[in-house]
Amino acid sequence: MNGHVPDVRLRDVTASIGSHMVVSGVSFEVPAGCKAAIVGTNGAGKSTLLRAMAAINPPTSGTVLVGGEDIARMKHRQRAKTISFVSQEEGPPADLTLAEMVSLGRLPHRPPWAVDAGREKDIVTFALEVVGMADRLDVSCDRLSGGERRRAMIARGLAQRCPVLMLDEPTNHLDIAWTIRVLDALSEFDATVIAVIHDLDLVLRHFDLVAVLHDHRLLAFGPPVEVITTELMAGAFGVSAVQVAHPLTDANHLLVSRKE
Amino acid sequence: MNGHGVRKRPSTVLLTGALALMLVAALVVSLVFGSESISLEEVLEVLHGRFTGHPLGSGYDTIIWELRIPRSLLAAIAGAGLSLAGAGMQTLVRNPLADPYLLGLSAGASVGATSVIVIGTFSAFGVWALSVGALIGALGAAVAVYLVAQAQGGLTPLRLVLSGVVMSAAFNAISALMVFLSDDNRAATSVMFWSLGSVAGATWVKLIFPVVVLVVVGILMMVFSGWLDAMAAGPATATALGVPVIATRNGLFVAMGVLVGALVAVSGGIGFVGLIVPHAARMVVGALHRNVLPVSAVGGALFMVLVDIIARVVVAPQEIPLGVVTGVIGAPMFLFLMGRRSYAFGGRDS
Repeated sequence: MNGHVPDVRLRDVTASIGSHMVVSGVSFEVPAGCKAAIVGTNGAGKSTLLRAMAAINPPTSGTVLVGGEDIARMKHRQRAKTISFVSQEEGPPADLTLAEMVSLGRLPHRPPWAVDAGREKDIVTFALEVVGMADRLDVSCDRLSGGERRRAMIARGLAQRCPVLMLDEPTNHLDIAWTIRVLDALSEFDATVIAVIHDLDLVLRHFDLVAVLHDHRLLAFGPPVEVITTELMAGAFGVSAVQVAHPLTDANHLLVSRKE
Repeated sequence: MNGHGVRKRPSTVLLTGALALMLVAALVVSLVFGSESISLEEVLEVLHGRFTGHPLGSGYDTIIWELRIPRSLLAAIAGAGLSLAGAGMQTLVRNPLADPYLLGLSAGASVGATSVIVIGTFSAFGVWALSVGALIGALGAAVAVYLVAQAQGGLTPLRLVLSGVVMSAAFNAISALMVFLSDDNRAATSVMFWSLGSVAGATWVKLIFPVVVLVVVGILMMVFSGWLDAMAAGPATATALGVPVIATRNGLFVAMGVLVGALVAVSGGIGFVGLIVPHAARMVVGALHRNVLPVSAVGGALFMVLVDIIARVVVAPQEIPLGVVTGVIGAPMFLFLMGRRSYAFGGRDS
């Protein structure tokens, strides 16, 4: 990757959409190399917070420090070499082949007129291997299914080769096998990973830390097994939930049902 | 599923080179056509004389060098410029229906041109009055659309499209009102002929400004082609890839405004070419700008030179407005390409 892997620290971050404040006063620290999930109900501001952290829509107040450096003060390209952000809404542009689309991830590493940045083809192929699509380099992006498009976008993010990965719902549209495969791959990366995730059961086993957003604020932050308690699930999500150990692996799973 | 949807694409360099050779051939052949019948041999003699520094000085020499060459070159420049502008505009607003005139540029130019034709404004500029009027009208429209979109929160694709459409309607109403109130019966015909486009009035001097603008904008677009690719993927993705989105949008807007303004000023509002040529290019070489831009520019130039030949020949000695020919030829050609290639028009066709 890009030399050393930095930590990510949020100091009293407020994120807005236009003039509408979505989340405020968020502070937490993700140590270097840790994998953190952001969870919360629909509309809790998960995506808005992640976009602020990646400086896609910079925070309205507060600071985001990556390796101690304020992202608001980084130059565009320097930031794009540090943080790789994969959006939830924007799919691959049609009429590009898979290889061309994933190569967009190399843009921060070369001038905009250059065709190829050295080992570009190897990097692109490797990124597509992670999501199981390296045999389809020349396939047109408009021929991909929803889940394949998501995997292709993740590959674009990986091809950027940044020490920090910020992914907005990376497992959306993925089947269960690909969900686990992608999350496993992420947890092995030598990078600090922050992802918005809906499935709290998966968060228990695939992430080191979890930030729970509720009512426009950070409700809890810490290791998932400690944070995702029955009380928190009742308060933040209005459901009845309990962690149980898997009979074979002993890993914790979350059983959720409607609140009685 | 494997193998399905795989694109076999020709090399951009080879395709652009082949189109450029065809363009040169078409330019030479185009010199044959006109009210005075001059054979291809005579055309070649004139060209040989000129390029070896011994102009023949005959009547044919004057017709070809002073009238037909500027005219054909202007057709090529207009075709190349409008195709680049179409490609740029489709990326700027991320909409496959965008054409060079989307931002109210042709409607604004039309107001300027109509005021010259009907009221006689800018008469101080003599033969340049129409060009000056159209250029000022186009740039005025661009500024107006820019200010409206900016005042409402920035040059986002949706705002640009909507303000462009609204301003176009307003400018067209002004032009129509001027024609309607005019006593001159021929005004309506003149305005219509102008707005459908023509390269008949070309001179060497008139070529200078459009050529300079075309070359500068073309080079800039190629230099920043990677950023344009990212812009086409969406603003969040572009930002994540380190592209200064707002500066790129503003720069592209200004470049498109000046390019289209310069072209409209000398050739009127030639329609359709700027919409279809970039799409045709994408169908063949894919959507990366470093492939689309050169193929569009050279292909658009070739297309316009052929269109101008047809416009001169079909009902000679009369000339058909170029916009009519581009529509008549372009529509079926485009439908044919669309049917042959799986092409998503920048979106997903489901």
